[in-house]
Amino acid sequence: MTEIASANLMRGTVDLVVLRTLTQGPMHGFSIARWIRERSGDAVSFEDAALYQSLHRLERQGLVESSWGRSENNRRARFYTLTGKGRRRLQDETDAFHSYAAAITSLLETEK
Amino acid sequence: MGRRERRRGSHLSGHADPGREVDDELDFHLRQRADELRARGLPAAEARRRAEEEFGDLAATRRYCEAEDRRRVRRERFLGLPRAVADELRLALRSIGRRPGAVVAPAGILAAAVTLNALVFTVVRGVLFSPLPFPDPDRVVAVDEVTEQYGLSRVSYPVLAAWRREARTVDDVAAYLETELPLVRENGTTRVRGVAVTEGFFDLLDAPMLSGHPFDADAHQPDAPPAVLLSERLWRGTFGADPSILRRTLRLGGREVPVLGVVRDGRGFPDDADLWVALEPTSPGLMEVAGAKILVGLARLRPGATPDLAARELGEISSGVVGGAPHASAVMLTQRLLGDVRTPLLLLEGAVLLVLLAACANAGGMLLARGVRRRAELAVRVSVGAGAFRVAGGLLLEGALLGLGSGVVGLALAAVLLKPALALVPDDLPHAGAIALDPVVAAFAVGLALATGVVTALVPALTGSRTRPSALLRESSPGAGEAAWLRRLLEGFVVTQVALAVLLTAGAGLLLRSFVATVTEDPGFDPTHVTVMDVALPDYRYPDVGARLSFAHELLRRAADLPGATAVALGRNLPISESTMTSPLLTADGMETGSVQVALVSAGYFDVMRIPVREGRGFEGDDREGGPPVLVVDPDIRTPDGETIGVGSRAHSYYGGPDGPDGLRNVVGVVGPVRHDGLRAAPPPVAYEPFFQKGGAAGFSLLVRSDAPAAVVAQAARTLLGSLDPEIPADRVGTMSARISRSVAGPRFYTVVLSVFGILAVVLALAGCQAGLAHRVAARRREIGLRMALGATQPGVRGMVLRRGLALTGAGAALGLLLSIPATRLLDAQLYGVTAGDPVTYAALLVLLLAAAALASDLPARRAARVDPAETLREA
Repeated sequence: MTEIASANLMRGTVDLVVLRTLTQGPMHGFSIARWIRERSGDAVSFEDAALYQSLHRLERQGLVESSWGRSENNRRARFYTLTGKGRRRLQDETDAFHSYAAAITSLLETEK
Repeated sequence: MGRRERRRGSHLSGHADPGREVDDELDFHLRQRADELRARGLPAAEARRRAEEEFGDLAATRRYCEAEDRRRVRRERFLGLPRAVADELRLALRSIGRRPGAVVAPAGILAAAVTLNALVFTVVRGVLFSPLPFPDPDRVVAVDEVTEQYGLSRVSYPVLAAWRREARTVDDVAAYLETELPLVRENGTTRVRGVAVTEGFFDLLDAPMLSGHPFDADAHQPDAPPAVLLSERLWRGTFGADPSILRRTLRLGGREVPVLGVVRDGRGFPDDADLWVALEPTSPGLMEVAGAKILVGLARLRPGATPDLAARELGEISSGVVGGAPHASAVMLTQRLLGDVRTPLLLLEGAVLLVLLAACANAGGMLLARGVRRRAELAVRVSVGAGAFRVAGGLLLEGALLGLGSGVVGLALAAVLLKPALALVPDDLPHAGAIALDPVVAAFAVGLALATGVVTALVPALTGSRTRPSALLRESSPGAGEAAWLRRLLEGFVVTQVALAVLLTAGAGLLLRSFVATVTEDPGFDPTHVTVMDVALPDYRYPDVGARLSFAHELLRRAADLPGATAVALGRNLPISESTMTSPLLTADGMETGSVQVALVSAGYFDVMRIPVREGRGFEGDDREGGPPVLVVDPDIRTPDGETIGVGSRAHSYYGGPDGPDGLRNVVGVVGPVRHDGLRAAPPPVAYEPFFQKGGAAGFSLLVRSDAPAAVVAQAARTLLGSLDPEIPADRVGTMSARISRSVAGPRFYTVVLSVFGILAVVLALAGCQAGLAHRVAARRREIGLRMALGATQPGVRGMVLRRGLALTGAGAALGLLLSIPATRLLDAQLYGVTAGDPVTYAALLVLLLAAAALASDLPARRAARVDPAETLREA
């Protein structure tokens, strides 16, 4: 795999995970990071840098929206919400990921 | 305002500084993470360092996120424009809804002005610019013979035939003759406007037939069977769009005439014709003599030919025909048809544009004042981070919304009012029947309203959104006064309105004075209580003098029994009836007078009309066939050497030839002068000859003076005529007063319309003046309070505002007067009895205007005087 393809794959994965995380409702970046960390038991780990880049990329693509609000401890935080477009994209990507994963899995198993 | 809060408002604008936003967001993350780490026991500085370390490449992320945000913002700004517009639209509607009063007035005024403009422009365009029904209307000319003696004359048949044969500069030479024909149907006889046309007439027109076909060449041969083409209007109206009309015959002019075809509305000519018949060159006398110049000639210019060239060629041809005129004339048909109405209609259009301008100035002033009052609101929006561009755009959008809304409402109103408005238009305007609201006019009127809304929003938009918020907030706190340029602009609106009002009322005043001068002219007879019925005897039933005379005698005899009749008479060539019969009088010593109007009237005429008999006697019962030939004259008839013709003189007209033994008639009376040619024309000399001594006539009028209600007399007269002969149309009955009134319908129309415009403009100007002063008083409340604290009295303050109001009005009036000097010149041709510079009109106008302005200024002046100095000083 070339570096760029790997970076794209990585980005795609991060985006997918972020979108999935936001299905729970509006969250700020820090709580998204924490949730992913807790959920995946550190199996999926990426830097916070990648998370924030993903958030801003997704917002530019119109998949999420942001607005300023107050965090649990009353700090000013930027909250992200999934848009309708984001929700649809998540569905499509999830389906695609599943079939991709299934294809790879079956491929790997055949080879065995 | 703190930096933090300003940023909080940033989502309002959609494009605050992305760099700072990203910084804040990442800072929040790092602080949260550091808190966590501190909770696990790390020292604060170490926690922060660790958090940054865990984060990854902070600088690169910041750059990446910023770049993404900038791309998003840029795209939103352009692709998201519709949404921003929708947002601003909501905002605009909310701001209008919050104080509808401030918007309803200017919007209403704009809407009303749009309505007026749409109506006037629709009518004017309808009349002036609706195309003639010819394929190439700019090439169709009206052609006439021009004689040495009478100047422009109509065309005689032999000359027309010569033109058709020989002319090289024109094609399709044709002519027509307008006649009225009795159309007999089961439910009565009506008079229809018929047009008798020569060969070639329908070749001039552009696909005129709805069904059937026009006349062929044979139809114009002598002894050709008669045929008629109906107008679509007549076919649909009178004949209920009968699909079998082409198989029907009509009883028309005493003959059964088959219908040959139906002419599409708007494609026939003249456009008010009910039907067309073929002109047959049968009646000798008329059709073979070049002296009988009775036809209206039309022709189409050949490519390259000009009207002048055509006139020269046609003149050469006609001078070669025996009895033909030595010259000819050819002018564009449009010019001929619209010559009389073009100027007043264009003036009307100009006037209504002035009204629109005044309305724009008025609405503009109000909207501007509203915008200025709202600058504080704008300053707040800018200060909480809304982009200046966006705020300005929002304001313009609001202005556009207002203008467009007013325009559409105005247009809808115009569509509703068009029909009633057309009823006010005088009948004699060409095409007036076929006018509909025109899309070009509609677009134009709405466009103007839209432009007004946008332009008046420009000032607050540009000044309100660009200025630094802090300065603006300071400046726009109420009562602190405002920039000098803004004040001048607002006052400029007031001055403009007053000037326009003066301009319009000056025109209206002059027309009004002319109209009053016209209708108060003494016509020379008393039109009240006189009923007139026009009678046309069809020649197929009354072929000779004997039949006509016995019918006339019988009608007159029976008319004496009409309800309330105190005097009855028959007459031909009545005053103010557009009829004209002129002839010189030939005196005993062989002298010929100038041309005089010759009226054929029966005994009783001078009693019915109450024309004073100054000398001798009027006609009596014996002045009939077989009696001694007599003549009554008015005092203005003179022989070339200036001698008047009085009682005892002997003379005759050329009408009906000489009757006495020596061919002369005894003048038995002199009667007062009569304004025969209309109220605005000086009384021409009139000679009266006994109706019954001139063999009667096929066309004449019955006149009845009666104290009974006019409608009753009219109905009785109709019944009487119907009982004498049902085939004579009895549809033209009315009062003499109505005929006079109709004769001034044009001037009355222009006077009424311009007066309405003038009144509107004055009301607008006064309202504008009042609103302008009120705004100014509100804006200067603090200064006024200060003055009062320093000793200015209430009357002093009131006087100050009043003086300002009068100064503005005075300036506007001066400007208006200056403008009206050249402008009223244009009215000259419409004026009667006053000059364009009439001092009485202007003086009355100025006095009224200044008095009204003083009244209008008083309300804001009183408000100014009530300012409480203590309160305003506290506010400062």
